[in-house]
Amino acid sequence: MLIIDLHIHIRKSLPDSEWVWEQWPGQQQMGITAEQCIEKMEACTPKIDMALVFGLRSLASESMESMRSENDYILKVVEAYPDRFIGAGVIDPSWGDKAIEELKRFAEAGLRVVKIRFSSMHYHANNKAGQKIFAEIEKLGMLPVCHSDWTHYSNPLVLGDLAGMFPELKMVMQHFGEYLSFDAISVCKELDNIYVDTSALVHSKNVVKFIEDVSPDRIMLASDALSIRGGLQPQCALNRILGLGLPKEQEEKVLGGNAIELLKSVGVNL
Amino acid sequence: MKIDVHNHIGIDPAYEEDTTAKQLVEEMNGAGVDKCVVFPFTTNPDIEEQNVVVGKAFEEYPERLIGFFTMNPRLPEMTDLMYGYKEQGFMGVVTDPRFGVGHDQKRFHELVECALVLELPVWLHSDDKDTMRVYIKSLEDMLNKYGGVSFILSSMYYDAVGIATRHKNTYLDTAASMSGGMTATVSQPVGTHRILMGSNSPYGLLKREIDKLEVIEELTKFQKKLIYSENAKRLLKL
Repeated sequence: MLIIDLHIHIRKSLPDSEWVWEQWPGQQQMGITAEQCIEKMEACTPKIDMALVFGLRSLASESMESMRSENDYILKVVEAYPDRFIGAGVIDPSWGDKAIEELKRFAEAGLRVVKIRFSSMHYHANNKAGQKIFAEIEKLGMLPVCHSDWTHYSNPLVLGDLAGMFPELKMVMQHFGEYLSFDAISVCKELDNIYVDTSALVHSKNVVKFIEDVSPDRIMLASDALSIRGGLQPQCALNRILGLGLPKEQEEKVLGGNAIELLKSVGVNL
Repeated sequence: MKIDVHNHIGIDPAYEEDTTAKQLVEEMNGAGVDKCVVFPFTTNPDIEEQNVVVGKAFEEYPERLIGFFTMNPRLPEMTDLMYGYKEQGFMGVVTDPRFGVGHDQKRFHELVECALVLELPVWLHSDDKDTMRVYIKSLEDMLNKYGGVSFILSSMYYDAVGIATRHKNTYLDTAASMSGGMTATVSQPVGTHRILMGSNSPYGLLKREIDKLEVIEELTKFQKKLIYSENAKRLLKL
């Protein structure tokens, strides 16, 4: 059985001269490189076999160049480590048609998953820009993985409204609504095209509630790791699931089985 | 005189809104507003393009429109751009957490330091912590550090009143007040000398903002005059 972490942010390491100008003296460079990420996956018990990886900075991008550069790094590491990484491109939809061009570019280069965080740019997910980008994603047959939280912009109800406009398009509601897990469950009961990941989930027992009230087939292990230490880490995310004592069949689905089915459905080779 | 300090022109890609200076001036004429502060929609990431729209607007209507530019602290050429905008005649800078730089980050502080040197007020389009992950402590630390800078706190809902009470270098606009009564309530802890009339057009109406203030019985004619225009004149050195 493969164990897949469906949510890790990675970035290339920059020389001091390129990053220190935006950091206070004494601060460490933020982020995990692809190689550091693999080390982390190997160090977990049980080890994590594969991860869905994507950038972080371009969730709200100051320029198209920076968005492209970050996505290029993902393309590069997926090619270098095909047995460890599934790649997702990051899109900041506030760039409109330029963002759609970038979406098409990395889709053509082979990425089948796209990450969007509407609250980064203060966009309500169900606004016109959100609908436009989802229409393009649907045309390309890709999988959108969208950050969810408690804000006006990307809470489960707003994301659910967007997903409801595209009933044939599967979507991952990342973080399971964070503090709004019950709202996420309500939305997912009504819309069977929404999946959830378990990253940043506050109450782990809500995984059991999701399985009982919604489905055992639409919930997936994820960590949201984005730093070497502190914050959210893959081992902690694994423990969140392993500590529940789920029946073996359900546990295997959450740890990797569901992700494999979902990723294969959009053309990812696993 | 009436000055409305919160108006957007240009393109809002989130809702496909496209507002021109001409439309705004027509609304001003209908509502009896003498001057408006205008700046881009912060939902638009292409700040240089949108600042051009604002620059053309106040050049075309120099007696009616006052331009603030939007700045993304991540841009490497930020301070050069700010000097250029000041020279062009812009009178304030607008920034927003949506650009991905927190109030505790070095680049944000550099923006504020540059505003201090250029004597520009800083418009913080922030929202509150329940709406967005704006951490109040880092915001207040920054307000405290730059006591020589005037900040306009906009769209910050309930948190703004407490923050403005604690930091005398801040102004509030009326856009997020649900009613004139709420503005009257704010006048007790903050004072009317730090409240500015702002409608958040095109999403708010200029006329509605005046109507909200007109019905407040608790404020004197003098206090309303401060909110309508005198505070803006003092802040912007008009």
